[in-house]
Amino acid sequence: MKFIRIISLLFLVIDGCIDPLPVHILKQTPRLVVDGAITNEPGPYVIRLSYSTDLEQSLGKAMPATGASVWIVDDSDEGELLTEVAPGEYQTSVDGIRGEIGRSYHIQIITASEKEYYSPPQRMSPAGDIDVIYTEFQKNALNGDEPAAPQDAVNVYIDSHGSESEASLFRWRWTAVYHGRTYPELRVKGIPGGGSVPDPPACSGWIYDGGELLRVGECTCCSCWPYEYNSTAILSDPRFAGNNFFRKVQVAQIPVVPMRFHDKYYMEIEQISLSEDSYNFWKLVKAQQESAGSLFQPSAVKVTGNIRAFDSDEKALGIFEVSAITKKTIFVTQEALPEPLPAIEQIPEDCTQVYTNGTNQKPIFW
Amino acid sequence: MLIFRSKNHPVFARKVQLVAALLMLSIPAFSQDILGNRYEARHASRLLNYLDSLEHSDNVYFFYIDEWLKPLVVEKTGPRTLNEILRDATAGTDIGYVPFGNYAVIFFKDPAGDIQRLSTIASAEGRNKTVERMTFGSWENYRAGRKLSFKGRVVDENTFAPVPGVTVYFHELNLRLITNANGEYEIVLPGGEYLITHTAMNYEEKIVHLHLYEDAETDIILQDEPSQLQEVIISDQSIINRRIGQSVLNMADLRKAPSFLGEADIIKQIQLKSGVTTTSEASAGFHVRGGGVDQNLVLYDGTPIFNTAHALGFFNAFNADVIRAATFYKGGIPAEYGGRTSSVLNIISREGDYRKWHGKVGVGLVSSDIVLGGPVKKDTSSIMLSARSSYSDWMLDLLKTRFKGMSQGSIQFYDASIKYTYKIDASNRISFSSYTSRDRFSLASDTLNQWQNLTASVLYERTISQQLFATATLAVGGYSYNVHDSDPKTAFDLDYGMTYPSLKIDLSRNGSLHNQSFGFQTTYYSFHPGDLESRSTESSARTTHMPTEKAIESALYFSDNFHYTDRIQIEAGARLSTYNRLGPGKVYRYRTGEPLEPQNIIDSTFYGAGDVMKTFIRPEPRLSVNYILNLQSSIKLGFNRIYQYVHLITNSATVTPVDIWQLSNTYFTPQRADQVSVGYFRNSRNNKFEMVAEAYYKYQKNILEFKDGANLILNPQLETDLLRGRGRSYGAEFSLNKLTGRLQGGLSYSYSRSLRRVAGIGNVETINDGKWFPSNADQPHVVNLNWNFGVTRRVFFTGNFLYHTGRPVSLPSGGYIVNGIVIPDFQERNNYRIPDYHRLDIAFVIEGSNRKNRSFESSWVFSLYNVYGRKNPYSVFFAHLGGGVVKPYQLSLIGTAVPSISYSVRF
Repeated sequence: MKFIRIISLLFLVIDGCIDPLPVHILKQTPRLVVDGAITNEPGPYVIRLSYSTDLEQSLGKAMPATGASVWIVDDSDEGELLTEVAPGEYQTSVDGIRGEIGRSYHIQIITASEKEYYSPPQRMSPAGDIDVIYTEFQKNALNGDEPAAPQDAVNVYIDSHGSESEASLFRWRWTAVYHGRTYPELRVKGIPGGGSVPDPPACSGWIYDGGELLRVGECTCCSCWPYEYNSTAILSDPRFAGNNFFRKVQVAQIPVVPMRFHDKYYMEIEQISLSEDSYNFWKLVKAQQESAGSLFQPSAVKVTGNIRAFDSDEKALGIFEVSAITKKTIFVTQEALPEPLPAIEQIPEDCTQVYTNGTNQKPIFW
Repeated sequence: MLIFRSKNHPVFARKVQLVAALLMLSIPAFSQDILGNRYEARHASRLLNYLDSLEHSDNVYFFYIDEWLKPLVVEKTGPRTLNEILRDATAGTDIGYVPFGNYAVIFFKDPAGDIQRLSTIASAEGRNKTVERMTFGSWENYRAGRKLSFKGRVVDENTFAPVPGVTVYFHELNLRLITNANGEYEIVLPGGEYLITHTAMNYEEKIVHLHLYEDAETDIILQDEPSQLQEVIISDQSIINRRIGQSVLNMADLRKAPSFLGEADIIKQIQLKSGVTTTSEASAGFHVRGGGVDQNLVLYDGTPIFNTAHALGFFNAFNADVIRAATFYKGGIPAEYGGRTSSVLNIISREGDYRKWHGKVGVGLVSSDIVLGGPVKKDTSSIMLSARSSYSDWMLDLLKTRFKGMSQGSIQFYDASIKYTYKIDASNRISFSSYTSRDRFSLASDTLNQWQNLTASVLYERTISQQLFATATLAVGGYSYNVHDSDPKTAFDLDYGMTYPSLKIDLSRNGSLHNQSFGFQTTYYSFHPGDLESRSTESSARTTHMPTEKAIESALYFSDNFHYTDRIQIEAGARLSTYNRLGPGKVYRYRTGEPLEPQNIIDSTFYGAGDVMKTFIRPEPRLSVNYILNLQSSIKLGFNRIYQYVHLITNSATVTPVDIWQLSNTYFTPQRADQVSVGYFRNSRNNKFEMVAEAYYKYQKNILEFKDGANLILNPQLETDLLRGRGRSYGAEFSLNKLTGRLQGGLSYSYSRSLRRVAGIGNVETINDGKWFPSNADQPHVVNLNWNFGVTRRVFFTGNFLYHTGRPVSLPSGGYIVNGIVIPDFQERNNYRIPDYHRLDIAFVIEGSNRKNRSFESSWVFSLYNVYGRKNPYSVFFAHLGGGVVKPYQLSLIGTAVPSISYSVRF
């Protein structure tokens, strides 16, 4: 809810500050984590199985749960056994099961150690539509805890609606991409005895022959397209939505830096319908995210999903989602900003080395 | 010099002074035959005459000074031993006697009483205190041995209002009395000289040198303790007499104590008491002996206050200059109080002077205030007014360049009070008191939060007879908050509110042995649990109205305070509380044996307006025992059972402005707390030091915990988001205080635990697998140190140091990623502790005038809060640093020393 979010901003008072907490790492019993969905879009659908880890290491390096058998089963008990295409990554076949709005699906898992898990049937409800995406510029919107470096942002909002007949339990998710531009041909390296000489990487299309720089081909690493995703759970609140209409839902807040907007910034927003179990799962995730640093110290939230162990006390984490999806996209240009941005910095590096979450393949819609 | 003589043995008399002195020091080796001799008194007579006759008839000799024996009589007739005759005649006096050989008796007067009296008077005069001499009757006309009745009525010098709770100490008798609600005390005692000390919080000590030779009644006038007084003598020996778990707050100390941004804060003062903890600086509430923040009954002139915070808990909502007296109970709570299970803070506001106008103007960094009081009609009626307001956003302006969104934000508060008192006649008084506080804060956004308290009460006090005193209070209280969003796309108003009119009738009867109080209280609750109103045509907010909830809570109580023996004082009482939840309303029924979850609803019952939906009748026994070991020490015992019918619903560790209060119903059964406490209290011989050691055990039932991710606002089935649990807490508290001298202060240490257990149906109704886990208030070690040092008569250096174990928090033991979103895995609630909290605050107080007759008196307070800039953690959170790396961080609200200055003028 909006006012809860507002309150959570207030915590910075009287030179308050945030410091790393010297905490000894607590012990974690690894638990099965399920992360996957069936949607109304064409497959194949992917279910990822892994084990939870302690916080000492990156959660991205979680151990995959390999060798499991995973089925997605529909409400007429027709199921499909998924194939493990990569460690812990299970996929339906291209012409296999296909999600349909109004029907129910569940998952069944038998791990390599022969433990059985399942989800209750989840109904796929309609996704409604995103009516419009629009932006607003906000000065000093970010970096509340680093007042030395105030950061402007562009807020992205949507107006949308759900279906008239059903409760609108939605999650919004976005994917964004922009044009990263670097100047690898300007790279130099130091030489013994002082001074420096040009050192362009081969992908720049330039070489240095010891005397001068020569253009030998196209630059393949001057431009790249870094991707960004939302990292918070953005959920509809049916108690605050009249007639299944949602107005001015803030979906994203994009920090304004020249690199993002020197060309244009592309964003695709998905409106994802949720089953009640999924909605409750994301609600807990959201509550957990909001409780972090809120002024009123709400207690931490234990997130429970819809995966249950069959015949044992083992608890599994994560969620099997059954969702319909609608999408809308927007290009945000410098027109969204009140004044022109300064020129981008000339970074003398391979673009894909600078933007690790980027690719040098220009998106087809660009 | 007095002449020692025997009428019939003049030669002997010359030596007898020396001999008497020797006899007093040693046990006589002579035979005691003479005292064993039997004599007969034929008729009642003066002892002098009787002894004279014995000397003549029986050849025995008596040595004495006329004056000593003149008042004494021989009352019983018939044959008795001389010892019996003399013992009866001298009973209750300081006259002693010893046999000398088998033919003489020497009388002597125990000089200890006189010496002690003189030295007390001398010491009092040395402290510039006056000793008032009062004489009733004359020694000549007093018939010795006759018991006299002495009644004192202690009144305020300005208002002539009775002062209850004054400790009255009779030095010679080593006897302490407490004035009743009418300010009176009464004692029956033999005539003679007595030194009586009257001590009461916030008044100057009053010493009376009483010469009592006939029945007497008198007013004892107490003077206000001038705020510039160097020595604040809290009490003579009052801790020996005070009930267990009770403490009285000293307003003069409060004004001198260091404060956060210069705001004197009574709630922060309470947080320095042993057994009281707080989670952090910005916490409106406090925890008493492991209880919840909603379990403290805060009464302002008899009306409960539901939110005592200003500015989200950085300050409190009471102006310290309007508080006449504040009494705090944390154990052995009297039967008069109920409805909250952990503690009672009873705040009585000041009334205006009946003779002349007084006032105070204070200027601080955050707020300014004005207090004005005086007669409306001289000696008959008075009025007291106060107002305090924050400056517009001073605090935020200071920070505006530093923090996100703050520049457009604002925090404002004000509070005001009025009290009018009218003395109808000598035995009837009526007063009207009203109090309001209001807060608003907004941030960069379009959202504005506001909350307010409003109370009004009429108090009628009547002295029915010398023994019977009655008060009736008719009051109405209100608390509400509002969240307003003005962005057209989302505009809404969220309103929450409650009103609670109440009637209270209390009677107290003060006998010579028994002090009884009894009464009846009833409160009607009308709660509006939330209305969400869409505020623009395009707003996406959906208008929602939660139905109003109504209930009546009533109680009958009786309590008797009596001297079981000379040494044992018992206060036994009982309270019978009843509670009716009234319609209209809907009660859902859930499948038996299943968790209370929305999907388990099988039925619902609708109750019409006025229907009784649920009734609870609960007896609450109370007991407090004071066993006086000797002049310096006592052992005390307390037991209380208390039920609580309103519950604060929150999922945070502190009170927030959007918390809701929930009335008991079918699913929220009343909370119950049973507490046993035992304590040892000791004063040093010169009353410089007092020492308290107390231990307690408390067991609680039906306390509320919330489910993970509970939705508490606008939830018509709140029972599905809350869990019922049990709590237990126990601990030991030690404190040592120095009460007199240039350096005064106290040191306390407590060890305590506070645990909870929630084991309901299935996983959803169980926390931490049904094991006991530490509650938010579980802070095992707490140390408090505070001092007040008089550098000169006008300059004081005060300070306090606070240490407590960090409070429990929930930390994730691991984590995982779903849909690219990092999710920390919290397996257990409250499984970790944030680092320990400690803080030192100091203040310099400079008072402008030390002369009482000066018409103005000013003071400066320079405070330094958090002297060594400790970054005390307020909360702990986890941040995702990208790439799935999650690290814990702590947030401190106040990371540096915070200086402040405030100035006030009183007249």
